Amino acid sequence: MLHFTAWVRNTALKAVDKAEIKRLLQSFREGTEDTNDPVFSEALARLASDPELAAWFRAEQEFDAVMVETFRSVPVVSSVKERILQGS
Amino acid sequence: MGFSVSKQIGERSCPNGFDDFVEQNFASAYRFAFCLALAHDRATRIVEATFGEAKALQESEAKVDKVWVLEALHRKWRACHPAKYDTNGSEDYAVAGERSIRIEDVAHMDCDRVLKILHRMSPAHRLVLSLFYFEQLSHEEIARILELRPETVFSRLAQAKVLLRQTLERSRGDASLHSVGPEHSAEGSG
Repeated sequence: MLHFTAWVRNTALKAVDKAEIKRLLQSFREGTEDTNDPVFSEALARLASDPELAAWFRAEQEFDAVMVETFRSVPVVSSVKERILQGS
Repeated sequence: MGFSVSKQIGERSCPNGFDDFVEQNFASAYRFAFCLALAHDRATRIVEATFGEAKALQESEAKVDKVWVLEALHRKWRACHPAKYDTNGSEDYAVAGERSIRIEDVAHMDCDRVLKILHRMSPAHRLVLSLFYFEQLSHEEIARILELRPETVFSRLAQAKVLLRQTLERSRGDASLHSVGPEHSAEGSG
């Protein structure tokens, strides 16, 4: 009974822990300061031992890459820049 | 010239004054302003006002960098829209268990459509996403610009990404997102 209780408790803790790891990793960006940020160290280390988490993380990174390109497609009105520069 | 341009992490130093500062930061400023204002004419107004303020600061040797520009844009927009701004979450929430769009479907989605969906989101979610995806700013910088605690940036960003993916999936059958509205076009806004 004690073993089962401990298992339930540990499983619940791991689930919460995994949810927290995902929450952190959703904010991670490869190739930025995030790579050296200790906030992400432990979460990133978990990827090596959790294939499901690693697959989820890869999908998140792919989604982010698509979003970055989408956001950068917002048109910029260059004539506004010219007006600002002409006023300087 | 009294204009002081601080070096941004990952960017080269910029010793040549206001013009170079504008060249380096205009695109970032305009994209964020557009995300704030959702229309080119309104974005133009706050961008011009912000760079005008930056130029005025050159005489006092005050530090003006990209984060300052984005902060100033946000401040100006909030000053004009105090009733609309909601910094504590919003009326839109991610639904637990609801389907999210698959990456292969996003990759084939029209950029304009994705931007329209983004612009339908609350400011609280839209702005954190724009700073995260646009500018690759640190979480501390995002927190400073949006006047949030850094830990709030993490939680809000996670919520916003889930909500975005769910909204993208829901929108796949929405015909109203196919056409490009005039507010998304840069033509005639010069």
